[in-house]
Amino acid sequence: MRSYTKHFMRKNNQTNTAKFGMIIAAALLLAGMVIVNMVYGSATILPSKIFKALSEKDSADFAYRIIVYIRLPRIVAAMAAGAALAVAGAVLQSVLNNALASPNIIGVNAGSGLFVVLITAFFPAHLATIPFAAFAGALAVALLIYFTAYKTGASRVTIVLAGLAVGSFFAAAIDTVLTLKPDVMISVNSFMVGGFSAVNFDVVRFALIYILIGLVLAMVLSREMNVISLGDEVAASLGVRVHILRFVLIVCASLLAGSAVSFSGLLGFIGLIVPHICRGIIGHDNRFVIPFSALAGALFVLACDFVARTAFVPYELPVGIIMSGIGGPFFIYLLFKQRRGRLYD
Amino acid sequence: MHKNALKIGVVLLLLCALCMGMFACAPQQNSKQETAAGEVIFTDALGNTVTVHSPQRVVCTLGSFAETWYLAGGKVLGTTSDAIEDRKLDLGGSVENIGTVKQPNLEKIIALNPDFVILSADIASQVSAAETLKKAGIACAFFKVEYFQDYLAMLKILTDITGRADLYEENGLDVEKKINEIIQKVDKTKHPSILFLRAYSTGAKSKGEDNMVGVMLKDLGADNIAARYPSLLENITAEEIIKADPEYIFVATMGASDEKALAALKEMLFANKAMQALQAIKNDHYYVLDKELFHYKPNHRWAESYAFLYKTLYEEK
Amino acid sequence: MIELRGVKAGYYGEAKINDINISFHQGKISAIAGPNGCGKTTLLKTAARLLTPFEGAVYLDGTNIEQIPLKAFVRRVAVLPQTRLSVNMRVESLVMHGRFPYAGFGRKPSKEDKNAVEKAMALTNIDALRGKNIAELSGGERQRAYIAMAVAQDTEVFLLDEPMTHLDICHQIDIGHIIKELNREGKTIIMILHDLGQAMTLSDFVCVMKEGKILCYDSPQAVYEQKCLQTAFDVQCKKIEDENKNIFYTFCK
Repeated sequence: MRSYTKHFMRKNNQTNTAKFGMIIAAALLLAGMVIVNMVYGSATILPSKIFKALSEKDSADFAYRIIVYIRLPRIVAAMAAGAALAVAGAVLQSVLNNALASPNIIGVNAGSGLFVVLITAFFPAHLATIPFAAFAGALAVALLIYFTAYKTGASRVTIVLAGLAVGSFFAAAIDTVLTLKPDVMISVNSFMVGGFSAVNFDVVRFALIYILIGLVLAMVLSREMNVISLGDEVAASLGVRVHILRFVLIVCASLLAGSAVSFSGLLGFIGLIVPHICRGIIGHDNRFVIPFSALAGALFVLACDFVARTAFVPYELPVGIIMSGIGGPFFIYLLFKQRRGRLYD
Repeated sequence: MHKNALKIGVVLLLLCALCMGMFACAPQQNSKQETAAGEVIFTDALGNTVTVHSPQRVVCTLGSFAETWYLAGGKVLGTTSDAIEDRKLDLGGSVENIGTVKQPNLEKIIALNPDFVILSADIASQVSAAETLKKAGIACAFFKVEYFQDYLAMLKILTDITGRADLYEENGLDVEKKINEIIQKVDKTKHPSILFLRAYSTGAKSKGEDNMVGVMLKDLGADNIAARYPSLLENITAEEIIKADPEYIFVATMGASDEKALAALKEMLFANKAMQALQAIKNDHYYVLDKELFHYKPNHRWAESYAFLYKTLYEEK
Repeated sequence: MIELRGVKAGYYGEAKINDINISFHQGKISAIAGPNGCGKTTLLKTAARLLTPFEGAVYLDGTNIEQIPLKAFVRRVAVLPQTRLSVNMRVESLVMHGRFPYAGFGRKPSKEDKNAVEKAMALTNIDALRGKNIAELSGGERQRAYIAMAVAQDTEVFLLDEPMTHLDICHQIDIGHIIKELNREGKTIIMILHDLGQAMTLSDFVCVMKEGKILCYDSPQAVYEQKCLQTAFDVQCKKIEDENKNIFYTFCK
């Protein structure tokens, strides 16, 4: 049985205690990364000073301003986006039984992109609504895709196909607007590359609620996701309402992805690759994959954002470049570690 | 055996790099020479040798180039929509709309039966469009204008073609004089710190010194906080902005131009409480730069751009 | 028991089975046989509540199954479908999934769950394989694992869609024994079989279908005498009894 890798099988044979241990380890690493992000930047602010600034709450103090208004919002935004996108990807890969599923597949890029373009081009006086429009757009398109697929049974394959069809239509719409108003192109590009340099904490606060709802929902339904991975009919025979579950999980994923996109732009890579990396470490049981993906996603994005804003201080690079630059090779390394086997059949 | 192969490989690589380097560095300067009466031969921005003979039917595929041709005393037959619809430039009469800057309509251009087309060297679709135009026997020339010197050089060539040296004087050399006067006035001991942002609907990026506005600010002695460190990058972090606390903030917008849009932009850019504490915001030294003077090439109004910046930096309190 | 009354069912608006009336005998092994495309799987899926009929209804012990809550239904009827996705988990985890209808909100399997899983694995003889990954098993072992999952579901009724397909003769005999064992415990088994010999010798009752209709549902002896198989398949059928009273059926065109 060469086609399944021994590595992945070994991972699934770990004990649950080991898996819990890994989740704790990830949480600790995340906490450490948060501290690192608070201390370093354009200016190094030692932990003792951070503590002093936070307790004194003097808004004129330089350290306070940097920590509370610049670094903390950025840290929260990076963690929230990382966790949300990673879990959205994990949920979609599970519910569509498709290893290549990512939030893009349910039209998040298309929907949010179109709304951002429309507002930038035709309603420049309402720039403040862009994050909410991005969020609403992502959700609306996901529903559109689901209902398009619904006519043919909303199976795993038809949802992907509907996503492609709707996605290409929206991409054409975006291109049309860009042709009419080429000035908009640069604004939209910066949205499409994504990043946390211009993060607005009010938007993050708004999105955070939905991200938390989405994360909790995904964890609660993780056993159902395990069952659905056995196949629609087997799942139905065990009492799972497959269509309802699929619908709820797609809404959950688009809630997570749409919220993240509203303040971080279209950060690629996380939704697709991070869940795979997690499964390579912790196995396929969604009860562990979901929380681990959330932590790993948060950790990964936070780490990359740290590199993006400190590697060339005082300049910063787009975080998307760092993520693909680090994540890509790491994933290739994981693939090679399998040696002769392939990750998926 | 090993070592020889390596050496040959390295040499080949270096040769390739050299060749690529030569092609990449296309001569930027347009040089020219006059021969027969009325005939002008010059080298354009892409290194092509162009010969024109008193062209009467001229099409320009960039709004500011159309303006330059008009300022050189020429008549513009057709130009792109940015000049006609967005900026509504005065080009001395009715002008045909030949499409967008990114996608000029070749059919329309050829239908106008031009004898000379002025194109932008920066836009890929225009570079490939020239191939078709040349096949149709139409003379084409590419120009690339980022800084005032580029405009001056282009104006020289165009006024040589139209034979209007007086217009070169009026719209070129005089402007240069005015600019130099302004630069002379600058107090060399003062270096007001500035931040120059290019703003989009979803954020802003700081810009350094290798752009039109950056150069103007540098000429006027300003200390651009994004240009303080040697680097290929120019987008500084928000933290750095707070740390540097520039005295002046200049913003170039990418689309928005009406009141409400600009207000929305300012709100978005400086929604962060830490940003609101910047001295430039508190002292109301925040300026949105006029598109005509700072986004499109100001051409003959270049001195006005300098004047505005000088006034802002040194005369207003 | 499971009863279909006036059932018309199919896919995407097209009916594959028409006017089906059948009452499967409780506590007995029933086989469904018929030519390809006659609607066997459609009938089984409708009975299993995987398909909603266009007309008519399915009854479990006299109650319309649509009126039984899904969770309760699944504790009484287990299905082994033909199509399954390749899975990446341990055998033990797979069998534990059979307890899903019983699992409460919490994650920890109860003592009852663990007992059911042990019993199921013992019955299907996959105890030794419990730590192995499903992907590592042979076809026959995997089939036994899925049957174990269905057994762990602890239901009164088992619906099996072609449990013998793709298995070698040894594994087929093994599965035959497991089915007989389950029946001895009082479970009702309804299974689709392609091997007519198996259908006639393994089961207590045989249901023969052709073109969406049931030709007959009777004991193998009666089915043989009524020549249902000959009609359905357009083949010759001969029954042979050897000196030990073992019965064999052979077929030819």
